[in-house]
Amino acid sequence: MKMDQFGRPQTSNTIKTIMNNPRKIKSDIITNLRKKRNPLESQRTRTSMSLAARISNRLKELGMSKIQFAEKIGKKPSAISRWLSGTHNFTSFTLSDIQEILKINLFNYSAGKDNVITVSSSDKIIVNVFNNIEPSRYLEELEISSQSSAEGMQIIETCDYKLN
Amino acid sequence: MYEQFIQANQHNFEKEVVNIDERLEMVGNDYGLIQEYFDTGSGRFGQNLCTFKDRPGSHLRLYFIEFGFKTIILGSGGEKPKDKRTSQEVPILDRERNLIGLVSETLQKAERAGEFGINEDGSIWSTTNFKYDKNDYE
Repeated sequence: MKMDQFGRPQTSNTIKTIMNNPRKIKSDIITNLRKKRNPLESQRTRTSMSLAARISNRLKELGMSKIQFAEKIGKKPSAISRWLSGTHNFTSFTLSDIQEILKINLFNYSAGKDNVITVSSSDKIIVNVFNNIEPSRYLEELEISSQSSAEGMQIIETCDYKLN
Repeated sequence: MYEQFIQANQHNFEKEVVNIDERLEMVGNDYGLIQEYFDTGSGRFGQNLCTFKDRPGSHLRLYFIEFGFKTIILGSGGEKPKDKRTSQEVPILDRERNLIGLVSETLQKAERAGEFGINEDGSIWSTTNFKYDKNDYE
């Protein structure tokens, strides 16, 4: 095998071709399993994982460790680990406490990919197409929503609304 | 191996297998490899084996390899009875963990040899056909 100047294996053209054409495999077993999903349970799972992801990302943004967070919210670090596991069933009181301490919006957030709201730095807001919810409702909730980060979330479709 | 896990467990634990599959899909498509979702430290040092953290009332354990920051390679697993503290006490889990650990070591060796790697988008490439031999499994 040819090595580069640093003694690492050199990437041949064949390897480059393979790298650029990853194979996708379709599995009937997995396809059939996915037909058995229950939409309500799927949404519960998504909500738990989404809340955990948002709290975890917020802790990183604030540079706050899990131990510091546990102290602030008056829980044991093991409870925080459980919250962040993506399996926890949060109570509204817990969410309220987390929201206050981390200055994050958790209540107005729906975990569905289609319900993400982001706010730009200008006087326009970008609202994606959401399911059966009036844009005006989001406008009312703008002040809180603007504090939340939608980093990494996908905006399916955008339209602009002027603020009053 | 993942397909085997599904086939072996969907009869007795259908809901849980469906849920594990959903969570894997959400990790892949939406939330990424958030460390807190996983228990690390199964297997030997350097094998990078993970499992999902247990849910209340869960019975199953699925092993996978965390490869870099973007990719997981799924293995298999099985039922972990509640009265057993470690997976070493459960023959099927012990076997599956050892097997995926072996896969991890093989892939790491292949990566060092330039025969296997992870693309920028997290997909994997390989110049070698890693063959699965049922005899290795027994």
